[in-house]
Amino acid sequence: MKEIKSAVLGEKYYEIDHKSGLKIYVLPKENYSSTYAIFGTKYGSIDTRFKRSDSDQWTVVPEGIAHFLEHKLFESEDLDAFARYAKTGASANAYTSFDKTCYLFQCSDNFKDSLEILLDFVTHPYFTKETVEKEQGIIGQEITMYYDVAGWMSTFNLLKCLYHNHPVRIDIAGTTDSIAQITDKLLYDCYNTFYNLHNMCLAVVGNAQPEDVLAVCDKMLETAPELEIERSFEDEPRDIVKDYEEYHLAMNMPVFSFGYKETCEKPVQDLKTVVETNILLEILAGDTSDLYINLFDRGLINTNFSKEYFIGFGYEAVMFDGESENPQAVADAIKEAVANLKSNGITDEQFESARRSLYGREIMEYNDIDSVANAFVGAHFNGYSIFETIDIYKNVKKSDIEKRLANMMKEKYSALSVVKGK
Amino acid sequence: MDINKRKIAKGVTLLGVKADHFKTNEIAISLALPLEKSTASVNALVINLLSRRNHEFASMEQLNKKLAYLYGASLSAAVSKQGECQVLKIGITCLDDRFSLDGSSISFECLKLLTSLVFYPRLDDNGNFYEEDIKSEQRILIEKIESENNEKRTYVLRQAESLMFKDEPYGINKYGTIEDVKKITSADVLHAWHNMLDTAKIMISVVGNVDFEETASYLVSMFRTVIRHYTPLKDAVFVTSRGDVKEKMERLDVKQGKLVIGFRVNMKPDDKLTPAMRTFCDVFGGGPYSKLFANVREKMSLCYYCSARYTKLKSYIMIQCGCNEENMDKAVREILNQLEEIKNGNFDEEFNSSKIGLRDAVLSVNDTPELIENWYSNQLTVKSIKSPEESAQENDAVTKEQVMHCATLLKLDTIYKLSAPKEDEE
Repeated sequence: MKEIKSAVLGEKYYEIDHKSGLKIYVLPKENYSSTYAIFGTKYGSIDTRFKRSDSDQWTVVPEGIAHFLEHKLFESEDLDAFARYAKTGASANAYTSFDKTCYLFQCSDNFKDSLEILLDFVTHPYFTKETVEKEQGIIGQEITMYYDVAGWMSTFNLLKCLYHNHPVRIDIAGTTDSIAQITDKLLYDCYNTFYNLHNMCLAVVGNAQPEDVLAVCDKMLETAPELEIERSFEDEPRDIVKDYEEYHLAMNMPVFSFGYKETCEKPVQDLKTVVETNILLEILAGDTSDLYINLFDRGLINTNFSKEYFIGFGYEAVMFDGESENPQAVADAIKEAVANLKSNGITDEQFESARRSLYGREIMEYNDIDSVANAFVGAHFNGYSIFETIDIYKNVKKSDIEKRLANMMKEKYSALSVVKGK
Repeated sequence: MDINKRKIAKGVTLLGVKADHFKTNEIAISLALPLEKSTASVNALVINLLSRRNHEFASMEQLNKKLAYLYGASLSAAVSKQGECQVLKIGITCLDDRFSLDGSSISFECLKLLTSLVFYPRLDDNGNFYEEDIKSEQRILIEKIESENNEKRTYVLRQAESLMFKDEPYGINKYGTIEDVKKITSADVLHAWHNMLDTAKIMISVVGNVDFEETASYLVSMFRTVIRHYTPLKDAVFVTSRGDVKEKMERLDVKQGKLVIGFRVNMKPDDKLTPAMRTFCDVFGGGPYSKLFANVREKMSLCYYCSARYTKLKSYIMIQCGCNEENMDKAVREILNQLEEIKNGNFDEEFNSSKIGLRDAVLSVNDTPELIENWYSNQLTVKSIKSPEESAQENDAVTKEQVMHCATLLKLDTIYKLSAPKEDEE
């Protein structure tokens, strides 16, 4: 058990390599009454082609299977997980993203009982032909629901503009056609590969001590066989598919996503580059930037404008989302602002303001037990420690950001997606 | 956690929750006014306008730079309904002083900034708000209303509320209407700003590591500059039944249908049994252990989501479902059937789950400064304020018989459906 401290944050956590193969993080929070636990696997919607270290064969599975598996794991032969949590009072949930699937709960009481439930149901799958068929109907409805959500459609249509082959272009839940191909056998194949404890991690934050967590893990977890998983994607060309897409819904206020596809030289980006890019985006489009103020004053955006450095295994993009009567004018203004920043450079004031603001926000994250627990999972799967971020904010130089800017946001790799009324 | 209350002026209270284990402090000013059609839009506009600039930071850019300098402090304005009051809130979340790189007090700076936004807005030489600032806010508010309409789940809920409470103040949208926003004049804005400072019921809530005495004396000095004409707010109109059930089907080009069902609840907001009504609503359609989730959604697959919400201050319960048109009538029948199940006392397991689930949820409020702040400012219009612990105790004392009794106090009022146009009508 390693103890890791941050003097700046006034926090410490314990990192444990459990004998079962699971990596465990525990960050006790003094004076907190509740605890948040999250059990995650490095397995998301993009993992549709993989090879196990004990096999020569590549396996290809239908889109949406990771999310489907998440739904199915809540069931068991007798009581489903929600019914079990109902006896401890914990509030439980789960989510699937592009690159991970996580199961979580938050509670003020009965922490150990709830942790037992979490570890138990995630490590004991149960599906049959009948339960899989029933779920196809339920998930079909969930997929349909998102077809009415403007922001969701706008984002996915942008990803379809930017990516030819990478599975990030497909809805996390898949399509009604793709989930129709899912069988109990395929679910077990994915489960037995990605839910190996060596591919997972557990993070607990709040009113709990490492000894409590370890006692439950010792009781509940069996040692997992060594396993490595190789991921593969079809080659993704540098260029984009198309630079504009439009979709129609019953609505008045148009919603847009504008983005740049970036080169992906290595499958996983290092933390320093991530922090630098976030500072860069704050300088370019944060709420003190010329771009933001200009768009706001011209009536082209409102407070729902946001920017994101969107990265994961094998994909990297910069995205701007918002509502506007004239999305094309917003896209043009962003392109112009990028060009201006590239030619004029970054001022010391711009750099300091962005850095100071993001430094403060990074510390604020440590208020929320859920933010910290989720950050552990993200950091673990990307190979860094959560406290490193704050140090990078303290030491980063303006020249680092300028270097980053020179290689990013090239106009010919940009696209605009708009969702509006008919 | 220690809670301090202090009267600052007539109808103005400072509420401090002392906690030094958080990274941030929350400071908010909440103002409650009667919800009226003639003022809803301009009030909503004013609070947003005040949050954008003031006499010192005359542009949004200058204000945002100040916030960035304060370590990314975040400022926000919000409008909500508490019963038939419109609550305007402006708040700031800031880093605690111990993280300041130069030893300056971030939270007191933020308190001063927040009050100066409310008391010293940017006015022209004649003491009026600038036309350009008002125009900008009109656009933003109209876009906010349209943005809510874009989100069909919110849209259908608003539609159901305005049908159900057509003849009561509660039916007024918290932002008013697009037409009313367009009509706002500079004189309206000035009047609304004065009216808000002079007459609203006000709570300043401060959560975290902020000096209470220093805050109180600063606020007293600020409120000396206004002449208060405060009269206590009226309770919401109490309606237990309104004749026939109102039904409406709206057709819009949507991929998935939505269903909203409104019940009147024959229980006044100050009734001793309101904690039991909260438990009833949770058993009916709260957590995943609830009757609606377990039966209407899971067992019968009639809806993708199906949940109930109790609004104590207006005595009603609203059920929201994502539901295909062919299942809507079946879903309504099954929801009413589940209500009967509770009346008949068939809910032992759900009752036990709800009691520990609600207790757990209420107590976890104490772990987030933002939730603590919301917890108290959401009680701005009620007479006696309760802490999460007191609320948990009330929850613990609820009996099964009380919940059965609560089930008999519901009366079906409104059924609102949203679905795609029928093919032969296209």
